[in-house]
Amino acid sequence: MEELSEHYKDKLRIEYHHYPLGFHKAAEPAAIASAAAQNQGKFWEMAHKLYDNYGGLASADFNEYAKEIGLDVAQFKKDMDDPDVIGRVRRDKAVGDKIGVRGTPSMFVNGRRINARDLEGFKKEIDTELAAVEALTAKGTATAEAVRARIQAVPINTDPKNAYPGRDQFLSFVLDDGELDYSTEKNPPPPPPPPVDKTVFNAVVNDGDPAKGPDDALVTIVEVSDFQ
Amino acid sequence: MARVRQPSNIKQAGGISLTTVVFAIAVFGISGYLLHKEFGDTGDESDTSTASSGLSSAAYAPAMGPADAPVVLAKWTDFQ
Repeated sequence: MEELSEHYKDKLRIEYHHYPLGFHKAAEPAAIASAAAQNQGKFWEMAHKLYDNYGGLASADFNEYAKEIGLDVAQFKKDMDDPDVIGRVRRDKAVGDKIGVRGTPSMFVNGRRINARDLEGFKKEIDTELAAVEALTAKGTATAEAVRARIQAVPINTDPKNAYPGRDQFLSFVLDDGELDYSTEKNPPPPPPPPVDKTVFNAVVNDGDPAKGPDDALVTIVEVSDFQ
Repeated sequence: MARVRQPSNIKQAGGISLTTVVFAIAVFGISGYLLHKEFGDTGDESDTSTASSGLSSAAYAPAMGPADAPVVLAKWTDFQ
């Protein structure tokens, strides 16, 4: 994303929206931690910490990350419980639900869902959209109106099996920031993430089990797996 | 064009002294400065921080790039 931002400079805006998946137990607390860091102007710094440590997203870690990136930790802890901060995350999630987000990451370029996953794929999508907007602005349309027109031109997909409900929800809840019930009264703060499992297992290795490395190695990694 | 008569019971605003005008300007100036100091420009103004407004999203979305960019890439994701 940083590479795209650097490449397109003022022609591209990249927006981050929270969509913590339900089965990722620490995803919502992590999203709230980033929103709390955003209150002190350090969303991206916290985001990098969270991505770099995705295996250690326990609540104690958030405070440590906050300290490492130079946040006022007392304020950060307070903001983690702030209904407005939690509400920002939950509104994003609710908007995502409205526009058909079902997995992460889900990306939209001027309202169009894209499936690109590499740099060249992103550039192709962005270049196409940039050309379309510039064709409109060349005729005298203001940039904001040109972007709106491009979103309005997204075809409505009426196929219920398709995850993208269409442009209207995008216009209403993303472009126009429409009303959406994401109140924290109806959605109490999430429970803290479960503690890290520190159980030590005695993994029995039998003679003749497939192995690499010497028998008297100082560290042994035991992998239990299948081929599917 | 029809003329509107001024009701006779409205007090005219004439006769304000120069001292009053200068005092009012000073009060407004100081108030404005204090309000700006208290609430204005407290955040990171970098485009890589929080958006103050956006073409395609709520004002709170963290964003890179200007609010009036011709292309907006909106990403929904999580950290896990």
